[in-house]
Amino acid sequence: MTRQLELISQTDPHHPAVEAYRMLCANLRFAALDKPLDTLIVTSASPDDHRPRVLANLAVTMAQGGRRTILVDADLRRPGLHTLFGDSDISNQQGLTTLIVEEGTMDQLPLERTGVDNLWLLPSGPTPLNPTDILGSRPMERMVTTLKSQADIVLFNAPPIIAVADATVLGTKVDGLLLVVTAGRSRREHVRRAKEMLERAQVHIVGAILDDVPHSVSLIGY
Amino acid sequence: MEFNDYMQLVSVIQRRWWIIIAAIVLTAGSAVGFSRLKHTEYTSTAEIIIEPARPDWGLAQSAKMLLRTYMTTADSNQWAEQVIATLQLPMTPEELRAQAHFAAQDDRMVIQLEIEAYDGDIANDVAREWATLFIQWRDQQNQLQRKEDRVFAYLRDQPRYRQSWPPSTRILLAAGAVFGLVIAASLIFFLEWVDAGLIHSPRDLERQLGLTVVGAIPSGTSGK
Repeated sequence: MTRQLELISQTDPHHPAVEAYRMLCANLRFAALDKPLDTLIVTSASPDDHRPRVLANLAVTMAQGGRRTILVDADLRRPGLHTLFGDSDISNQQGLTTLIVEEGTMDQLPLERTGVDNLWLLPSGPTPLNPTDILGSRPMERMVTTLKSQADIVLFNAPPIIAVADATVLGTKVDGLLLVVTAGRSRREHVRRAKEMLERAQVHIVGAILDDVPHSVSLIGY
Repeated sequence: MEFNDYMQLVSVIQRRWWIIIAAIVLTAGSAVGFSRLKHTEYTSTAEIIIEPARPDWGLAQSAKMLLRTYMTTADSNQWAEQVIATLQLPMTPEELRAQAHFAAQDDRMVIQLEIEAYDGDIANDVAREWATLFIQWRDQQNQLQRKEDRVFAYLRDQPRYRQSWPPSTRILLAAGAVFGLVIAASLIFFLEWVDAGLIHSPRDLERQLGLTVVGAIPSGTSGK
């Protein structure tokens, strides 16, 4: 039941939230008119959010829209995307970390089918000791290029910005970053600090996704 | 306060009214409930008037200064023991003294004695007996003085008890409600302070943080 609620884009296409994800996709297309947005990080300022759920639903909506989408779990500290898809959990034995550590295997990406057409998942792989180093490495840059060549859009799940430097480091290797903010829970000061950190690193912030918005504010339900 | 401040206050009350109601009901109810659990207490008051034999300034000043000494003399275990013995009370002198309160009012030349007890009549008896002991002591002391130097003591009125606990239900309810209101105000202030640091709407993100909101996902899909 929890998984069904998490992936509402897959289970209930008529839900108002799914319409909000469609609107988000449309906005991202508009944002990509000036500068291509083929690789995007979805992260948050602090850990108090539902970032993986928002990211997974965004990916499903993009895939349903006909775009070949690869979802990459780049949260190498608390990976969780592999638990959201399919009837049983996707294996996390092979993934991003094994590709980076065992160089030369880029030709055969261990992409997992998700049960959604046009959507594949690259799990994080085993948790490494040095996540920031892995995400900032040259093989990671090559990996981004390889993934980009195989899909219309690549979405990365990254850990919270204030907690660790992973998202900021990875942000410099992709086209843009989306910040998930939870209404009534995310602290203004945390978001401000996250924005400053990203700006210092010259990461392109495409915008923010406000999650858990009261219906009266979102005005969705037409 | 400007009009906007009033509007903000009204909006806060509209959102948090249940806290105010809950706090008032809880504190007023607790006050009344607690009062029902405790025994009824009575307080009997005796006033002993101290009067110098001569109305001259010197003796009056001496008597005023001695008022506290008189009070200290009376407020002793020895006197308490005598009261207990006379009235056959089942308590120690220390226990009786814990229920007795003396006050010297030198502007009125009065020593006030208050006795607390669960029985009003006993409170009256103790107050009367203690005052009588004091008056007798003053009479004995006066026998050793010249007539013009004497300081007399006598009971102003017979002691009468009043109920000191619980206060009337109306007073308890009012006090509880006021206390509840204070608690609710503090709680609301704290919640508003916490809330002020949170992001609630796309406008917060755009105006205060300069972020473009590309999507707003409605609540109800958190998977909780």
